[in-house]
Amino acid sequence: MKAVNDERNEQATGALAGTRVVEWSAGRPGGYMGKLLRGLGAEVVLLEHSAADRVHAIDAGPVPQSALQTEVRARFLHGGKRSVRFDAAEPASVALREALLRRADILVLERPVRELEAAGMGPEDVAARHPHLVVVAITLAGLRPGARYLRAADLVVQAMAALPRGTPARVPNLEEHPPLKPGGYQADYTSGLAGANAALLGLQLRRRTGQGQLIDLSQQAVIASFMRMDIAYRTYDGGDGANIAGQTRLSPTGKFSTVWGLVPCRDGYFAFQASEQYQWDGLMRVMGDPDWAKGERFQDPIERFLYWDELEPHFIAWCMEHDKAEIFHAAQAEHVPVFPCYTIEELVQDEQQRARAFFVDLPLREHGAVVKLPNAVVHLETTPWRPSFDAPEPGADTAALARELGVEVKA
Amino acid sequence: MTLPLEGIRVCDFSWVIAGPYATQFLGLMGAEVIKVESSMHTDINRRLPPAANAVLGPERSGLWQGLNLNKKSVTLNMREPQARELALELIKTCDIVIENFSFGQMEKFGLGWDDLKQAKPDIIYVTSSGLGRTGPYRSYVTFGPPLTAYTGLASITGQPGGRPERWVGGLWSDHQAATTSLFGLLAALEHRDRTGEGQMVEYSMCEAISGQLIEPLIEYGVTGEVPGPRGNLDPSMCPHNIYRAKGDDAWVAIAVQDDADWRRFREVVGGPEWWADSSLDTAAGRLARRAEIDAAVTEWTLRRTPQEAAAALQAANIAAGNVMTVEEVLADPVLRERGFWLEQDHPEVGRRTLAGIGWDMPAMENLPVQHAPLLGEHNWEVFVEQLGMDPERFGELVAANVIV
Repeated sequence: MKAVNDERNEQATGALAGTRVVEWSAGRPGGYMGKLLRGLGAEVVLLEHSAADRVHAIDAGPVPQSALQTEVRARFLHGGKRSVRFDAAEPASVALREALLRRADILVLERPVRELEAAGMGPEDVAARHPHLVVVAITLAGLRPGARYLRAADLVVQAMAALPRGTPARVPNLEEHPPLKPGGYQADYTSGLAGANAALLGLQLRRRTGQGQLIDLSQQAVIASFMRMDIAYRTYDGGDGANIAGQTRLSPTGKFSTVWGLVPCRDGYFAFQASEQYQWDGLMRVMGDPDWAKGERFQDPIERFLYWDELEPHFIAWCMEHDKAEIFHAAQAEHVPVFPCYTIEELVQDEQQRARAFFVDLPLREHGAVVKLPNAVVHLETTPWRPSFDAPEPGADTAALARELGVEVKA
Repeated sequence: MTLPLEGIRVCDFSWVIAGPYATQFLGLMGAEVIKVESSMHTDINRRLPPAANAVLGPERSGLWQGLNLNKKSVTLNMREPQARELALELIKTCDIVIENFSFGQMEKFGLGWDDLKQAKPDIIYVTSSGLGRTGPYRSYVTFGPPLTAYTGLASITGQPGGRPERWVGGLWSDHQAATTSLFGLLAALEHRDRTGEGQMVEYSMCEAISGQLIEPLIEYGVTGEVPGPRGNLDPSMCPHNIYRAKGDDAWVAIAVQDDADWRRFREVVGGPEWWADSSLDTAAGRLARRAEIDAAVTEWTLRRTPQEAAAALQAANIAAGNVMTVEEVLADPVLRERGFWLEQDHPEVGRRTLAGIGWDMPAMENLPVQHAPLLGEHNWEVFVEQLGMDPERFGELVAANVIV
């Protein structure tokens, strides 16, 4: 009990202290949005049907070997939240939900819209019923007809925003290089982050108007918003010559350029950018001012891009004799943006991450493992982030919250 | 219609992509954003393609303009002490200061956090750099694309078992970091509105990106195996891939997310007889035969356009979608109907369409869009009309290369 009270006291000092959030989510976007708000001090109450409902919400499957991973993911997403059992078929459960919404500031909705409607939680209805609420509905492509009932998945969100068309860019063969999604679940987490931003804007608006707001967050639009350079290449008729992403995916050489590249070296890969002449000059100093780079036509970024085939063998030959860490530090000493290509293992051991305590340890005692999970993604000096990986049992806070709100629920 | 941030004033020292993307949101949401630039050292993006009609110039970049709508531009030569005084005077009228220079640059200007909180205690100061303000690499220079390699994201992006991918679309690291900074900024604003207390908000681009690699971090921690690129496959879903469809470079994304999905998927697609095998009723069984299943799915998708395949599957409540080209995104009726696209009418490049915002709310109906500012376009308005500078003094500062 002491630990719970300590955590609540810490919550009271967060930037969002006093903000009450109700979350009914079916996956990473809503769960991550709630996590972010909680991390900066909001009280977040999850509506959950059962333990199976939670597992289904945050993982597909079941795939037996990933059960532990699912549990850790639940602890990451739902740590520090409270949980209320919710069953739309039970009047007492609905009464508790409505009582929670009456005192809440923000409602996170991230479930298929048909399910929301069937449970009396259609976004428009709930916003009309509770006009003080900031309601954030996260869907694949928004709440308008034609999009409203589309089923979302991270891969599909990315596809509908054209992100895989630019990843990779400039491929040599379309058949062997299908459009590619970035690793992990970037669209899901970014949608959750955008949802948190939208909710905070909703609070700002409420402060100015006294009214809540229904915010229609389209995951497709969130990611399409990142594609602004590719879009501008179309709407500005800007030509394709120096377009890193390429207007068509096909590129005869498919090679990296001197503007930007990921280059093999002795122990892996490193990435560099030399879009400015001083950056290229610095890189050449690191390489010992080689004669092969001194030709007149290699002194301009566009020319180097065009004649890269001539430079490449020399460039790579040098890199293959050096380690990525060595190239990293030497190039940075010349103010050239060079970075080693880190695996996940290298990332968590990196000196900079350790110095900033970016990863925190979550020991899994029964399994003898320690998982390193991200701490704060943003640092507020006087109201810092409060990590928690203590996820409540589904429905654990039902009785306490019902008592607090004067609602009778089944034991 | 009232916008969420009306009445908020922002002094914006940010440049390139991450900072300007964040401050454009603030401008579109009603804040007055004053961008502090210099004609002596312009934002690199003002000079980068895509340029209107392929003609480069400081007022022609589509990338820059797409990141700087609804802002004002003033130009100061920060090497001059008088410019620092002017900037400080401007900051005293603002609620938020934001910058994303390399570590230590604002301190060199005499505008670091210690200076600013003394000048205006309730100011919110948002500062970022590639690797953060602390730690041994804090001074390292950063641009978003190469930084992606350092964050771990590149190492898990690529064809299955292949090399890390050299490019993650959408200038991912910059945009994602900007979205992260907005979260801290808006939370700090909420705190200030409740308590009157300003504060510094700091973030590292690297942490913003690495902070979303949850599943690979968990996988590594639990199994001890270092995750690599998986292409479009998923460790717990099958089918889950981007499949070739009918048409030139046409592809459809399909994610069968659970066993109930699989049963409906089979009804829509039909599939070979062996799909009826009960061992495929669970994700584990399907994952064991992923290559065969994907080959059979491709037989089905190849006979349909991406739109036809996605429509048939979505009608059965299965997540599927056309892998859109950028041209298709621009023409997408759903995005058009929600008013996603922003139209600016720019004095030099004319009317141009630019990418908008991921969320929509009634307050955003008829969202005002001001064209990206010309370099120094608002010097007179901000210094003379708003800060009350004597016009003669303004002329002197222009002549002395302070306002440039």
